Amino acid sequence: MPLLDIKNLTLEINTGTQVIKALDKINLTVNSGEIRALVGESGSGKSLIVQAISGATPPNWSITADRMSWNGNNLLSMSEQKRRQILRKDIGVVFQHAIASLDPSVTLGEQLEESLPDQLIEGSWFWQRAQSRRKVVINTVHKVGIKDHEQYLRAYPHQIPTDIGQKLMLAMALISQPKMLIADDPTRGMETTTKVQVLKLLSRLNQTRSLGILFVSHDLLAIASMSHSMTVLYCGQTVESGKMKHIRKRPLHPYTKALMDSAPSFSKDLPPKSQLPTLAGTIPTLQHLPIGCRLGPRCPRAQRACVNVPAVRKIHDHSYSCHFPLHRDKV
Amino acid sequence: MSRFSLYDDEAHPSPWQHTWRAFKSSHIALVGLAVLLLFVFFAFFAPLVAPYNPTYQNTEALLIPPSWAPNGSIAHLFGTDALGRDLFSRILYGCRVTFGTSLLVVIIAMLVGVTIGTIAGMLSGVRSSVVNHLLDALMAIPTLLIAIIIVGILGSGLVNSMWAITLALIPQFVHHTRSFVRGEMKKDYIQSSTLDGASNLQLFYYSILPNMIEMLVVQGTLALSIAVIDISALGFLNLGAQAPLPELGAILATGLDAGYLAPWNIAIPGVSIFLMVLSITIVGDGLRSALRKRVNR
Amino acid sequence: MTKVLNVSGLTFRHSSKKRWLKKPEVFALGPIDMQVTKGETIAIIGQNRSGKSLLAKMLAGAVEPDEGHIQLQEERYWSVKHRVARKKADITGIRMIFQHNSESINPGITVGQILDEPLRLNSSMAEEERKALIGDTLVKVGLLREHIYFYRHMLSDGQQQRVSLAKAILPDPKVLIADEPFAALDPTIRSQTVNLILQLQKEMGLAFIFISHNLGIVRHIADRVIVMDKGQIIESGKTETIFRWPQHEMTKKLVMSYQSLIPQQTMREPD
Repeated sequence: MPLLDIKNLTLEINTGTQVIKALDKINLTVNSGEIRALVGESGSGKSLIVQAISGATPPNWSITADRMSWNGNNLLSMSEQKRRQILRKDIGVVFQHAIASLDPSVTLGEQLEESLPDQLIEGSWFWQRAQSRRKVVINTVHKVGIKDHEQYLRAYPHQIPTDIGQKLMLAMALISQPKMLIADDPTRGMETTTKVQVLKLLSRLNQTRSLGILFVSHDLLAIASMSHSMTVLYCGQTVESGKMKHIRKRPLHPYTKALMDSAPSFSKDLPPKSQLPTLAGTIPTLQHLPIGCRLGPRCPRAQRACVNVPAVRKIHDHSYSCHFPLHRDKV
Repeated sequence: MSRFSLYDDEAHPSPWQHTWRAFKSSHIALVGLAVLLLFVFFAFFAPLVAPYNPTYQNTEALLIPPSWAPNGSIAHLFGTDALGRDLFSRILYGCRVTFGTSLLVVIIAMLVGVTIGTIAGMLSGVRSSVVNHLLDALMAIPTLLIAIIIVGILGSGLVNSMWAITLALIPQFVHHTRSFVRGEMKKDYIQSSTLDGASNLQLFYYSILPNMIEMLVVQGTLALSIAVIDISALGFLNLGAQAPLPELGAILATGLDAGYLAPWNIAIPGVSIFLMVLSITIVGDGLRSALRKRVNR
Repeated sequence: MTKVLNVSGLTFRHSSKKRWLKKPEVFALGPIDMQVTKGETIAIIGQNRSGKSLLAKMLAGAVEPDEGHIQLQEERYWSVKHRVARKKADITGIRMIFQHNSESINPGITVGQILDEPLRLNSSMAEEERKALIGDTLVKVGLLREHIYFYRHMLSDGQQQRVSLAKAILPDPKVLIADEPFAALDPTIRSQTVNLILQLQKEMGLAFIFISHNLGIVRHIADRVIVMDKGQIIESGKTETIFRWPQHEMTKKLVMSYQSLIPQQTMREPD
């Protein structure tokens, strides 16, 4: 049974003047022990999905889905409290720019201790509990690869380097021993060496603890090196989804291909200083979404049929939603 | 692609037209603007509209109630005061004095304050900090108190009270301009203009000023309402406009003597001052949101 | 192979003693020597705080070096501190674009006014000529002539990037310097920008010096790579040489972490 199972999630935002379908029938599954990458550029709705899962949605949003369940329990029909409990215990979230999401006036050690839920601490007297809190924190910090915890636990957020900060955010997310981690673009703006460290850490955690990871990003190099499977999003529509190696070898949707092309490291025979293959045009804004397949105006293979949203088709676990996919010749 | 562009002159509104359009969309702001324009009209054209000379004393028409009361007459729209002067004409001239001098005071204070603030903001170093801290200390004292102190030194009278209020308003322009300019100087686009070869003056006029207008509007309207209240207050305390010069605060003060018999002598000037400040604030608020909409749609 | 830029002995000094009421400068850079030929693309890579941004700012003239000088073709290129010398010399030969485009465009004025500024300050063209040149440049970077009436908030990220580019290439410079120009962009917009820069280079013979962490793009478009660490150039050479046979420790570290992200390459670190 998958940990997170979302089918046909639709998110409509009522702005008073119009109703915008920000997410249009999204499908997403994360299994236990699987690293799934959620790939999309700005405006694709990646952060909206994270918000929809956490339930912190403004009143003018309306969410409908055929299925949106966590471990078998329907998230939509759950009470507010139960949902918050699940979020606190079973799902950990890591954001971009760790240092900005930490409280600047409290030392890191205190913040980590604060985020520990009560059930995981032994001891009945308060000094025992304080000690055990500290022990658990130090353990978790070691697990994310920070050797000298003393120095960093005593420091304030602005005094630590970015990679340590990101690892500490991971520690905070892991401290409640979640079953799944949602990483919202954790390696954005990082230099390569730091990025590799964070990614290796995530890989290791996934292997040792069978931790499911939902890795939201548009950094293809990072994703390709460690994800097992990938879901590609464009303007609120799922365009392709499947195992990483299948998609790498043979992308079926023109948008996926364009994304792969934007990283020259993936193309082996590209002559140096040549023009990169690219899609014309810009990403449409929420107010001006095209009808039907939203890539329509930019897609080089678009025909008249593309004014209708294409149905989802599958080839062995590799699902795509396109009228003229790349394995068929252009009609 | 040909050079001829079909759409070139179609509607490309200038920034002021953008602002006006955004301003128009708020009905309250338009009402406020109408009232404010009425006051401006009085400020300029009071002599043409006022039915009587404001200092003319008609001893047969003492303390006549306003025209809507049973004893009133239409000849005196707002009634008369204890000396038989027509209140309507006095109010018109009073608006002229109060509003006109406030406007003048704010314009002078803005010019001087913005200049000092800009220079202080562009230079860095010890000198600018010292100036800044001294002026900030001055801002802690209420403007009315500063004005009274200055009037105490210079003597009472309308012109002296104008100088006093101008001096009292300068520190806040300096403070806000300085912090704004300092913040702007650190931004990338100012650095790139410097790389292009812009001098400080060119930087100020072309790059900083367009962004500063919103702040100036806010501070300006705030200062204008403070100026109106302070001038009326000084007039009320008989430190500003001296009799027989009609000024709303002074009119209020003279009305106090016969307050129980003729409450309209207090109420009507009071309401005028209130409407003046209210309309200034509403228009300032509307302008500010219109400007923000232009930059931030 | 005309040499377009010649940098010699560029130094920025670290001063540890606190001068009266001034903060101590904490970074020591240089001495830096560099030559750039026409139409060449040079990438500067290195870890954070290795001095790359400082070098870029010095090359563009925003920061005054303590020693050394920059030679643009035959003339000396002055930094902003030498106002008088700059008035007589050509200061439009080297142009810079910044990392965050929304910060580098003035939000209160129209694109037309933004683009007008370098021309107004540095050339004696009449207004009609300036307007024509601005229109042409907008078309060159892939925008419309009508964009001169737009404000910053009306443009998307990619379009703002193009406006910065347009402003930089307006006075027909010889060298373009960019501090992490692709970092904040989405992948498809990044490809478009890279293509645009390559095309402009071909059309104008522009030399392009850029700082980046994205080694994939570096490998694709750079002719030469300069590696910096702690304020010094520790290695420099042709792109393929640096990527296949890195010499210095730091270079090896950078290249190997990049290779580890590409599964098909053979240099993978054991876990």
